[in-house]
Amino acid sequence: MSKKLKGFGPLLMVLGIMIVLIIILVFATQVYVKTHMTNVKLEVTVAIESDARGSWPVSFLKSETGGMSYMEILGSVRADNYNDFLGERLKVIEDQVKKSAELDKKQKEVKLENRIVVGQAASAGSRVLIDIPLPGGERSSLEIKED
Amino acid sequence: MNRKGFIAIPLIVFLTIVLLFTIIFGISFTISKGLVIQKTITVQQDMYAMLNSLEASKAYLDTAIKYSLYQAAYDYGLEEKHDSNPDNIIVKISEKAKEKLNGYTKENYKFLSDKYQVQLPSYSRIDPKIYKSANIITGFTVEAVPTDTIRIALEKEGESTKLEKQAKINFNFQYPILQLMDSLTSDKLKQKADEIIKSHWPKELVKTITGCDKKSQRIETVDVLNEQLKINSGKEFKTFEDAVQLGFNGHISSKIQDIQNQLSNNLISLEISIDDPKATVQVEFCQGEPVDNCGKGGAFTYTRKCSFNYSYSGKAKISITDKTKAYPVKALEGSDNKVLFKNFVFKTTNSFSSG
Repeated sequence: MSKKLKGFGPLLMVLGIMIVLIIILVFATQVYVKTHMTNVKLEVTVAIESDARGSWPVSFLKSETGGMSYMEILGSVRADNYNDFLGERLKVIEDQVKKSAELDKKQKEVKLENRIVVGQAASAGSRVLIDIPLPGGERSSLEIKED
Repeated sequence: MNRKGFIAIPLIVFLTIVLLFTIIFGISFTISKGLVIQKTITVQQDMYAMLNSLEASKAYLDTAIKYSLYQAAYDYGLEEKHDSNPDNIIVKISEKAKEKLNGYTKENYKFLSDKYQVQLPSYSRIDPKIYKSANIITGFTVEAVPTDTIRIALEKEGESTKLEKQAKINFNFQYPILQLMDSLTSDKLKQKADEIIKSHWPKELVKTITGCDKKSQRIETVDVLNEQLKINSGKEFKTFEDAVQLGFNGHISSKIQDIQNQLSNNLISLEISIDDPKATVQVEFCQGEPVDNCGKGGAFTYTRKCSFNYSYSGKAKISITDKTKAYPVKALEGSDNKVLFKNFVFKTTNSFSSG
């Protein structure tokens, strides 16, 4: 009996090692899956497709001359006697609109109600309205046209 | 032996594969940082337009607070009031400006189209602080404290985009009227009146007449007071009452009104008038008798010394016009409340009492 079993000694050892390795393998797989399931990383690539609408009007309205923003100057046009106080500043704004129009190779026009028009653009061009405050607690829309 | 080798070889190969797999598995387990899922999102133009609308709405608020302060300073300047303490003035103007600023933020701010509507916050308070340059009050800085942020939200294809921006506003408001008002408070006017009395109206006055031809003359109290009136204004009066009310009173009033010439210039004009001036001159005592030595070859001398207590009170009607700059405001005069560029005017009536 012992002679017969003697030939299977190494084989049983190998089988034993294999069983131990398989157990380790199964255990490691479980740990791996659990660990990685809780360590999922989401890489999001954001592609912005934009025509940057409104960029020019914003930088235009925030520009300043003589300590006043263009928004304040244009809003102050609501005053009946604005020409006595804003003449030079409105000229600066007009020049700025012209320069921008040349740079963008577009015609541009900025209009506040029926009071003032700076620059020139065809009526068929694109038109946007932007709220601006007016003196005396009111607000109005500035019309900006481009073509 | 051959049979043993025949069984062992495949087992060793299998064992080697398992070992290699375990090693590779172990290494990857150690260096791996986890599962990575990649996703690409395409954001349309709304993001920039939304950012621009926030920028534009902030510029709107920055301008709105200026108009609010201009209107508040203009309105408050013309109100009937009895105060010219700069600290009180800036608090009152800021309170009024807050109401006006909140009027500008009631409705949503529209940018480009109705699609981009920015929610504007209301403002809980405007904190003012006196601003000095080279120790001269040139105006005040304000900080408008909002109740919320500026917000914009857009829903598109089940995705919601929300953007916010801080709404706190700071502004340095040039208001040189404050410097003048600071020198015309009731306390300062009292000091001024006290100084005028101290420097022009000595407590003890003396009148002396000499000469034997003046023996019949008597020195009345008004004559003693007239001695100083002649020095101060070149006038004299017959009755003590006139000397006090027309002489002393008139002199102090005109001296206080002189302040307007001292403080006015091309940029700031100041007008002061005194309403209801009240002057009193109390006689504490008068002493002195005539000494007649004419019969003895001498002279006739009559010296009379009086001690007076002076006091003066009045209501200084002050009007200051700042000509440095005109501001667009809804003008109160006229029935149609037109918006006009106007200079700031500040009117007040400050009561004061000296002595």
